[in-house]
Amino acid sequence: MKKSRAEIIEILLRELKEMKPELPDIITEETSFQDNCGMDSLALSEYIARMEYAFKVEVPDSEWKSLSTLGLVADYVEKQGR
Amino acid sequence: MLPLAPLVLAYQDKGYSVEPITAENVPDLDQLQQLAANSDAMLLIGSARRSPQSVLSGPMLTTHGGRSVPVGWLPLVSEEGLARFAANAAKIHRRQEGHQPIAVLSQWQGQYLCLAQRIETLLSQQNTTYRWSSDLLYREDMVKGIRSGLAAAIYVGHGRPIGWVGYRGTRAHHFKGLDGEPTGALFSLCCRTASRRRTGLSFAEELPLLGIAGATLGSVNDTLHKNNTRWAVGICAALEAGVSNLAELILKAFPTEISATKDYRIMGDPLIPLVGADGSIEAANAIPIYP
Repeated sequence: MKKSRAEIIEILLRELKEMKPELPDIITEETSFQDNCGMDSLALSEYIARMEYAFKVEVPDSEWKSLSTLGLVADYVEKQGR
Repeated sequence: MLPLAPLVLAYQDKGYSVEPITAENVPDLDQLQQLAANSDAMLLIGSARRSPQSVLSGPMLTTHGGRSVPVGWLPLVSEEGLARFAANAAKIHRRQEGHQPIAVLSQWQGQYLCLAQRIETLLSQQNTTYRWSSDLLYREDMVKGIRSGLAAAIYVGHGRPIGWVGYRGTRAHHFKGLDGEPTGALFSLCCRTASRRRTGLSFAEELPLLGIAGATLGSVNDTLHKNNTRWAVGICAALEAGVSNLAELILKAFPTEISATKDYRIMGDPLIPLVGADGSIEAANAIPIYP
């Protein structure tokens, strides 16, 4: 069944908090992984891999860098119909 | 088939139905898909002239009915090698289910140490994990650790057809002549350890034939760090979910992105249990590390 935006955000937040438990609770869709969460390219690659695994979606190599905020990742998952 | 008898017996003792099939030549993909139609896993053994890259298209076959079936490869170099593989794989099949000690191995380089640390963190909730990255111990000790009878070991770093770049170079011969117990499955999340380029047998093929691991997962080509990360995330999630053998793990961990999967191959027994030997935790605890 297709997940609602809120459900997608909840899963994305859970994955993010599992990776970086030290992050504050106030994370919005505009929060930048790099600038606000201090994630480097390695951490981002793990996050995208976790997201792919959680939603069973494929993110082509060309799209990885554009997924820089929680909202953009949620947009991507929604677009894939998950 | 005689050298494989201990493994066939171990399968049968567990209630698996085993169907040995012999053929003049290594079957092509279409024939393999047909053969896999009624199987949960396949082990293909054939002429060492064939390489992991030329025989298989990935760690799983998709049957004509759309089912995924993990498939392993072993080159027939000698009956002695095959017998050694079968005897050690059978030993692993006879282990008591219970603990799942896992080693996390890494080359001494920032990005790999970082990934190794993440793997350790992801695994340590459910499993006994040993961080044996090359900043913490010497190759000699790491090799002894691999002989502790672990359920699995995961290496991240650079790789070559002849072995790992980490630990000042790790080759199959470094494992020879050491007493110990085989590791269930050994995952090389790096480039080319299943490639035959400028080598007789690849590192990933040699280890099962030497009885070091019941199975290995390695790549036949160069890999991208992000694809290895995809595998690492999937493998950790599968192990944390409690998979009991390699086939279950591959089915669960298989990344959705095709570029992450097409270069990887299973060498050895795809049904190898991911279980530690009796005494493996004590043996692994005795490996010295130098933090």
